[in-house]
Amino acid sequence: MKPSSSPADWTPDSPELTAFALKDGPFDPAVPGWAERRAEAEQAVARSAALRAEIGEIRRLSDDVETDLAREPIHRLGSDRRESVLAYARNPGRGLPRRSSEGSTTEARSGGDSTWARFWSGLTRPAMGFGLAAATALSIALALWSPWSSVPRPAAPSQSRPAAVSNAAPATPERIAESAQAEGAGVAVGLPASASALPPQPSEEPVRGEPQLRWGLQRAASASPEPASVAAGSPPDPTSDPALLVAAVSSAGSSVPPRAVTDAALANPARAKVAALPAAKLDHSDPAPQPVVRREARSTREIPFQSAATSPRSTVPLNPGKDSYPRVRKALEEGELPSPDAVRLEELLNYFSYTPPLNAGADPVTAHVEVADAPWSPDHRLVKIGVQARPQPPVVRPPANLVVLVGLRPGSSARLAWAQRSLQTLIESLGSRDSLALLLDGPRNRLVLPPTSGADRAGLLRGISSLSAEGAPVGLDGLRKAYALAAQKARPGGIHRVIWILDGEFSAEPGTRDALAALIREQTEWGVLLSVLGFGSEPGSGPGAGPWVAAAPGGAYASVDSAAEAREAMQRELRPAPTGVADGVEVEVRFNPDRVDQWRLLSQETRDPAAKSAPSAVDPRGSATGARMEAGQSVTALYELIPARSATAPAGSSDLLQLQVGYRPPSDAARQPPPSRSLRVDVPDVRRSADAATADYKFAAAVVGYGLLLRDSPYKGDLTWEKVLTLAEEGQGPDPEGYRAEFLSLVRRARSLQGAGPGAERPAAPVKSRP
Amino acid sequence: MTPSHSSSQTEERVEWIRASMERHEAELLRYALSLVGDLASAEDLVQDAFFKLCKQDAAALRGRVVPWLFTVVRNQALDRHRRESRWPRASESEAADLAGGAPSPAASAQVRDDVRNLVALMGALPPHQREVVRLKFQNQLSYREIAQLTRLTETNVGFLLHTALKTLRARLEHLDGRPSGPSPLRPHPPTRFSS
Repeated sequence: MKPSSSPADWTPDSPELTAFALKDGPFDPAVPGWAERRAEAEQAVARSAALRAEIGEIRRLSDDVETDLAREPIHRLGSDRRESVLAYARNPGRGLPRRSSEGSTTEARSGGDSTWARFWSGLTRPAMGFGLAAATALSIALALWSPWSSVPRPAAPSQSRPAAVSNAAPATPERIAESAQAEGAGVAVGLPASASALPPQPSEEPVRGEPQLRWGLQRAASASPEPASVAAGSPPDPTSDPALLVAAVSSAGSSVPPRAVTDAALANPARAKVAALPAAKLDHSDPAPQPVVRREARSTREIPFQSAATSPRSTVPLNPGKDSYPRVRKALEEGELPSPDAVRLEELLNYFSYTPPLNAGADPVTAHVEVADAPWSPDHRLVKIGVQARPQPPVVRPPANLVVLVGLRPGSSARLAWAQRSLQTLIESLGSRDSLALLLDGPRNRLVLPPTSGADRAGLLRGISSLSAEGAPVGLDGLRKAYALAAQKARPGGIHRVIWILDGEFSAEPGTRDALAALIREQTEWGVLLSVLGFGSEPGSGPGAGPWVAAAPGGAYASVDSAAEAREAMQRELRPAPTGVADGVEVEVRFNPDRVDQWRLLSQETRDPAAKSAPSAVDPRGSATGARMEAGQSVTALYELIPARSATAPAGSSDLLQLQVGYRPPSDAARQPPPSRSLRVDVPDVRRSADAATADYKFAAAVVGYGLLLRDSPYKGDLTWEKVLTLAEEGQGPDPEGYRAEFLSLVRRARSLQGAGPGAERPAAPVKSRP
Repeated sequence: MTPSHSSSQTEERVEWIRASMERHEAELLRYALSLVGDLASAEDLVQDAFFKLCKQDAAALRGRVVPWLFTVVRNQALDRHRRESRWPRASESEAADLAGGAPSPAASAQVRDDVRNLVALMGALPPHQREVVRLKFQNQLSYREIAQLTRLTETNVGFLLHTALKTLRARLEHLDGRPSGPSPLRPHPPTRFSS
């Protein structure tokens, strides 16, 4: 399809605009020349708010159409029809056979209908389902995890490579024993010490460390050029139980750059909502953040069940956003139920960290799997998979040279108070080698506090208390001045950072955008990083310039809408950029079709047609795919499984699934990419009630259950608000920061808004923004 | 194709067919059902398509199995209607038909209540548009694949899809905006050729 009109001539009624919005036709990445056409179209779209609004409408409607079509019942051929086809396939020489009788198909259908319609209600086709899962993973892998890490750092420490990590780690007897077991392909899988307490398996006892792979996934192991030893991690949790497995990947014979500078506090990942900015940057169809089209990159559909027989593999997305949680919170606090589109299961889930204590040894990536019956469908299993990157040991922090540019409008006194309190927190961590300067963005760009040593606590506090809002922030000039201040104190090896506090709604003068971007890029190259804190903005909403400003390489944007988040965002500023501990991380789940009939990742689909044809999953050679994981980063995913009927389960493998973790040590560009590592975890099929699960498991189930109920999801089973509350209460744990307590109050609020009773199917409260 | 095939080749073929059925029968059945309207006939069409697939060379079809199966199902559906002289009504006559039939206020209220009733709204689209919407959004085929399947040009496909989305949107807005007025909507069963 050739575009019949130039994008410059498009109107909201142009068929080409529909093709552009759907990324199909001339804009299908499979069609040669699409990139040029898209670039041209983007320019036209960027100039026209009407076109952008139309694109948003088209995508919203097509999402809805797709969702509704996916709800149509799924039918399968009757078994006699299948058998007759297969019989014919054995001897296709003769003419086409006659069809089998109608009666038997009716019988097969009635059996099939109830099952398939119920469990496959969202499925379009298995192959495509897997493609979408792979596409999700790829688009996530393409996105950078955190802008904090994506920064060229001229002052980075030398790249000397010390002894191999595995040597540096204590070679405990257990470790050696495990390594010795790892013969051949050299993949061994660690179990917690309590693994010996595994209940007797109905069939064979799974053999850990067995080099032969039972149902696939040989690739990673066999292509691994040198043995990757997998250490038996210490039990992550004293309460670890049979269904909780721990695997740890370590990189024998390789090395990790010695940038061990990250504060151990990173083990508890930052709570402030880092806007999903890198992903937005990659979405070329979205040239400028516009409120009208902000839903466009989001599909609102939950990923449907897939057949384990036809799509046994799933890639765990390693880069979920976190925006959905505060968005939902905001709606609930305003007394409204959130729009179902605002509720993204994977983002809710990953707002929290579920952190079993880690072995802080040499293993860069660990994976945890916990299985129990799904709280909302006890016939189903709910599998919680946690992937964590090793936190790095605390070391002496380099001196920090901070310049804070405050650009709050007059009248935002609450925000000013947040800023002041968070700055007070910040200076508590400053020492005599650090310095802080305060600059007001406004018509006069007043310097409130010249660069002042961290030892001068009284001077710093005076400066902070004299902060005010002096007229409308300007942006460019203030930032220039802030960078100039930072340059005054620049020292090699130090942390140089400009922290720009602005209103979430701040929007730069249109003419200054390019200059701002160029300035940020240039300063980043000089090693001065920028953090933008958007106060009071709706996370990820993108109307303000904050995310856009930070879109330059090295920029980072966090939206902050509570005092606690302001404090935490500020504390994060003092940590050096997190060190990547692993590149190309890919986590693939392979379901055993003997044990699993269908599976579903509890997540919304991500649409990225460009990734449709992407190669899937774990690439043992360590290609450019996969995500980078920063020290201390953790990701959690939940899968719901429909077990295979026991009658059909042959005496093959007794495992429910395998988890395959592939990664390679971080590399610098000058070297060949280091060989990848991989490990495999076999997760046995153990039945266990959700009541017996760990607190973290219950809490994760509660968070996702909250999402299912808010969405009125077709997959919610017999879930009720009471059940969610019980799970959350049982899973609350120590909760030092009070995040889980806040969740409990949100659940109660949502319950009362939705009309409490378990039979309340329809929202009783007004629902936001449904066309 | 001949009895001289070795047993391993036969087994490979059977496995290929088995896997193809496993993978594609559900989507083909949905598509076939949207063409013929009753499940038994849809199953006939899909079963026949797999019979025909048995006679194909797996290697030659590699990467094209899905469009091939869709095409066979579609052609068979057309043949069937030719045989049974049950051609689809022309879209013009259908449109005229639609303009006359205003649903009762209760019916339109019901549709309005069910904000997700887009499939019902689709039932009122002309058959070609309906088919293209299905292929695009249910079967996830690209413009190009849809064009090959329906023997339309890609531009045509794009135009049909565009028009269909516009129509759906207008009807949604109509339902939302003027709840008591007559609606252009008259939900049809999602069948394509038969009534």
